[in-house]
Amino acid sequence: MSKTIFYEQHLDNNAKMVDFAGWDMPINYPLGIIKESNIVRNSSGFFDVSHMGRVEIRGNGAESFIDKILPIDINSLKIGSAKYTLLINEKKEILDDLIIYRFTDYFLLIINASNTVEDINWMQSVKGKEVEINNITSETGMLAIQGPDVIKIFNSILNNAIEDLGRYKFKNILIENNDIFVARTGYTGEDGVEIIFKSEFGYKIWELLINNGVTPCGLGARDLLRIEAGLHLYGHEITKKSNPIDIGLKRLLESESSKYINNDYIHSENIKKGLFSMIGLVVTDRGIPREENEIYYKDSVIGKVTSGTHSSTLRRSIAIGIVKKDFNIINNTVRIKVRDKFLNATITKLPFYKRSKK
Amino acid sequence: MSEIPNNLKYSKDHEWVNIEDNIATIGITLHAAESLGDIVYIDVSSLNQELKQFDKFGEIESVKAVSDLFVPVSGKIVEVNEELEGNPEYVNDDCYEKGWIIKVEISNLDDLTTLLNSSEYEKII
Repeated sequence: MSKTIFYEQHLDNNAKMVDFAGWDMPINYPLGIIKESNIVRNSSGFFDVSHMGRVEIRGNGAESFIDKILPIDINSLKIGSAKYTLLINEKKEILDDLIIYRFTDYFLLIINASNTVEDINWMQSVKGKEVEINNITSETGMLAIQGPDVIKIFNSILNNAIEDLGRYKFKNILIENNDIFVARTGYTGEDGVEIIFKSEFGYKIWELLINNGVTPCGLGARDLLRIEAGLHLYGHEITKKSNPIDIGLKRLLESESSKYINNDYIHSENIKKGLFSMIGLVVTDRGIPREENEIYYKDSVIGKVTSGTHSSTLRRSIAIGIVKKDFNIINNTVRIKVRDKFLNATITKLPFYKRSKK
Repeated sequence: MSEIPNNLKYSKDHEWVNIEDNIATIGITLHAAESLGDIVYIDVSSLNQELKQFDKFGEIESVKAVSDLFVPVSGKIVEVNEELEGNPEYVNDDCYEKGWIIKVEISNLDDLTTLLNSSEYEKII
C-alpha cells in the first residue's frame, strides 16, 4: 500500500489506518470522527490529503489542451483562480471530478487518488506534442486546513499573507524560504485553505499547525463534513455513467468552445432532459442509511442512497440519494430500506449544512 | 492494548458479562467499541424478552459500521440501559461502567462455563 509523507505522524498520533484507494490513510485519530468533525465546524482542523493526484499541464499547447478536455469556459478562469469541474472522455464517461488552478503559464489539476492513473492515461492519449503532463504527486505533500478559525490563524502565522485571498483563489507564499501553494478551497463546507509543498518540508508544516492549535483529523470526519455540505464524491454521487444534469452539476457544463471534445454532448437535448435528481434525506427514525440502500415511495423503488452518515451538526442521520426526477418533492416522506428494516426520511434541499458568512 | 478487566467474562463476539448472583450485566468490550468507532445508535430487544445463549439481542451502530449484539447467556432481559438512547457515546467513553447495555436474569448457569476469562479473551483480539 502507498504511504503519504505524513505516515509516521499518523502512527505517532495513534490514528486508525485504513486502505483508501490503495493508500494507507487515517480514518480517525483517538478523538473519533464526531469530535473531529465538530472541531472543524467550530475552530480548526487539518487533513492529510497527500494521496490526491496533483498533475501539472505545461507547454505551449497547455491552454488549448485544457479548452479541449474540460467543460469550463477557459476565458473565465483567470490566473490565480480555481474552478471545480469534470473530466469527461470521448465516450461521455465521467472519469473524475477535479479542481483546476490556473498559473501564469501552466495549470494544476487536483484529482481523486482512485482515478489518478486512469485520468493521466486518458489525458496522455488525447494530448498533442506541445503539452506536457507532469505528475507531481509523489514529490509534494498536500494538507486541507479547514474551519472558521483557519484564515485568522494563517494570517497570524504568516503576517497577513492571505488577508486578500478570496474564495477559489490561490497564491504562492514563502514559509521559512519554502514555496507553499495556498488555495482558499476545501471539501468540508467550512472556510479554509488547501496547501501544497515540497515533500521534505512536510514535517515542518505539520509542527507549525500543531503548535498553532490546529487538530489533525481523519478522512472519516472529512467524509461526514462533505456529506453535510452536500458535496459529491466520485464513486458515490458521481460515476462513469452519470449524466451531470442528474447529479445537480449542470452549472459545470459552461464551455461554449467548439474545441471542447464533448461540445455536442453537453449542448444536446438528450443530456438536458435528465431522468434523475440528487436529493438530501433527513432520517426521522433511528439508524443510518448506507450506500446502495433502496429508496421507496409507497411501495415502489424510486432510487438509491449514494452516501449516508450521522450528522453531528444536525444530530440526525442524513443521506444523499439519487431518485427518479418526478419524485424529487421537497418535504415528501420516503422510506429507505436499511438491512431488514425501513427508515422514514424526509426529502430536503442540499446542502444539509451551510456555514454562516461573517 | 485494550483494557480487559479480569473480573469479567467474555464472549467471542466481544461482549463482556459481569455476574452478580443470578443477574448478568452485559456490554461490549473496549476492543469492540474501538473497532466500531463513534457509536450513535444502540437498539436492543424489549424488556422481559427470553433469549437463548448467543441469540441476537440488538444492534449497535457507529458512524461507519453496524454490528449485531449477541447475548452471552440465556435468560430474560430485566433491565435496559436507557441512558444510552441519549448518550450512546458512553459505550466509547466508558464501556465497562456507564456503557453497560442490558441486564439479564440468567436461566442456565452452565452457560458461564462456555465463556472466556480475560486472558483467554486477550488471545483472540
